[in-house]
Amino acid sequence: MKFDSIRSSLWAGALLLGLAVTGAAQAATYEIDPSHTFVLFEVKHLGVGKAHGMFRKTTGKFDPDEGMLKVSIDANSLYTANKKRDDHLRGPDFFNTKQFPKITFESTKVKKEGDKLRITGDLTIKGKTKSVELMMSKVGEGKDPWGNFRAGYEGSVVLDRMDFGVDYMPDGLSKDVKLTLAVEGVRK
Amino acid sequence: MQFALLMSVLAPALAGLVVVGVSAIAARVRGHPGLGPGAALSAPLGAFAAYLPVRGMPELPPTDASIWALWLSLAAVAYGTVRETLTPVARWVAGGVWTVVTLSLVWQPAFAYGLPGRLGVAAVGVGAGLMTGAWMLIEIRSNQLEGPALPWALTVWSGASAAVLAVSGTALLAGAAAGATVALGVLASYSLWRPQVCCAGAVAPAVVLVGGLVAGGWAYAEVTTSSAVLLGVAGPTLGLVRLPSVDASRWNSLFREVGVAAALGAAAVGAGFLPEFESNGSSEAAGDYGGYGGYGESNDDGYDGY
Repeated sequence: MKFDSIRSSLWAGALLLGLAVTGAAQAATYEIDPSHTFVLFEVKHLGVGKAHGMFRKTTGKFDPDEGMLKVSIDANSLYTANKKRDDHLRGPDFFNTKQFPKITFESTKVKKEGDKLRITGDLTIKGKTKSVELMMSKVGEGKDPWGNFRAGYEGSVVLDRMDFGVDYMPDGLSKDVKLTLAVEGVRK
Repeated sequence: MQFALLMSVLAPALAGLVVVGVSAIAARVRGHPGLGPGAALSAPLGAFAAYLPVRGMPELPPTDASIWALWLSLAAVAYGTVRETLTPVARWVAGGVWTVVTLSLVWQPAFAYGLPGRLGVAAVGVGAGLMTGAWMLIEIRSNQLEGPALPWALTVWSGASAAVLAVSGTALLAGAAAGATVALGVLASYSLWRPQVCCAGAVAPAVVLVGGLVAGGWAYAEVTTSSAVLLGVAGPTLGLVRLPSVDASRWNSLFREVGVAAALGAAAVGAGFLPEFESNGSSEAAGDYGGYGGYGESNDDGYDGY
């Protein structure tokens, strides 16, 4: 009887150890895959339509279990499918990308809400930092054909561009800008 | 947008009229033909008046480094007001220091990437040399050449700078330069009516403002090097234009000075359309994607800046 009890305890210990090891393996950091990560923005134009654009070069890392998300966006990689407009948006009227070449986000707090993550963090655009909240949902995870483990999340936030000094054309372009972050990362 | 455009012309015109009007009344009361600080205030007030309706009060220190040009031109009003009490050496020193400080502040963020080390020092040296040359030579010429020739030449030069900035993708800097142009135009119009008024005090703030804005446009927008150099050369040239046989006629002086400013200004605007190196990051962003074909580049069809 006593022997059985010891054996049961050993099994329970092994199981707990195994779970702990598995948990540690899952709490890994993902490195953002720039070619499959999209930062999209949407702004109302003249109150009648929506203009869309994107930043095409994003780096960073995230760890959903540790609640960490760090993103660095190359502001010069802005793209709206119109070169003149791209140059205008890169210039001093809007993002002034030569003076402020990076847009960054760094999480400060993460809260799980069902299957979503409420991520609070510091967003820096044009040298101005504001705390914003992103609601991120997991898109999926799994192994890619090359054996790497990938995970993808997507979320969005509505910003007041005036808070970040991107304040040109207040009557032509809405102050509210929807920023969508669709990240795909490779587990390291 | 129409309101902003309208205000960027009307507000500087109003500012220029108020400054010149008040200065002219004060001059009559004093019994002195000079405009006091009125001439010096014209360009900075015009620029602020154009900037305010579009973007509100500029920050100090500014987020966009180019906006240092507005603040430093306003500070240069002090020089423009007391310049008559300074010795020629003190004026040259003041001009040199002011322009070096202006360009250093406007280009300070660019020293980290586009103008590092010796290139940055060389750019500040060349730019400050041209701006100081414009400042001093036009000032000296203003004392010799009575009448509206130099105020109008300064206005045309400022207007050409605004046009260069406008075609270079920065309506904000172009608007500030246009505001200065409108206010300088009011001053120049007054000098047609009262040709004995000396407008030399307007030169320093105008040079700091327009030079600083063009320097900012060159570093952070798409102002081409050839346009910036042509505008830079135009400044000192306005102070050097001199044909003694024609100096006797006020109208000939006016046409000659304005002609030089217009020719160099038009060349600078034209140079803004010449192809130069591309500095955007569009193609770079497509770098490591090896999947299903390349990204399409942006076209430039139909975009009118709005």
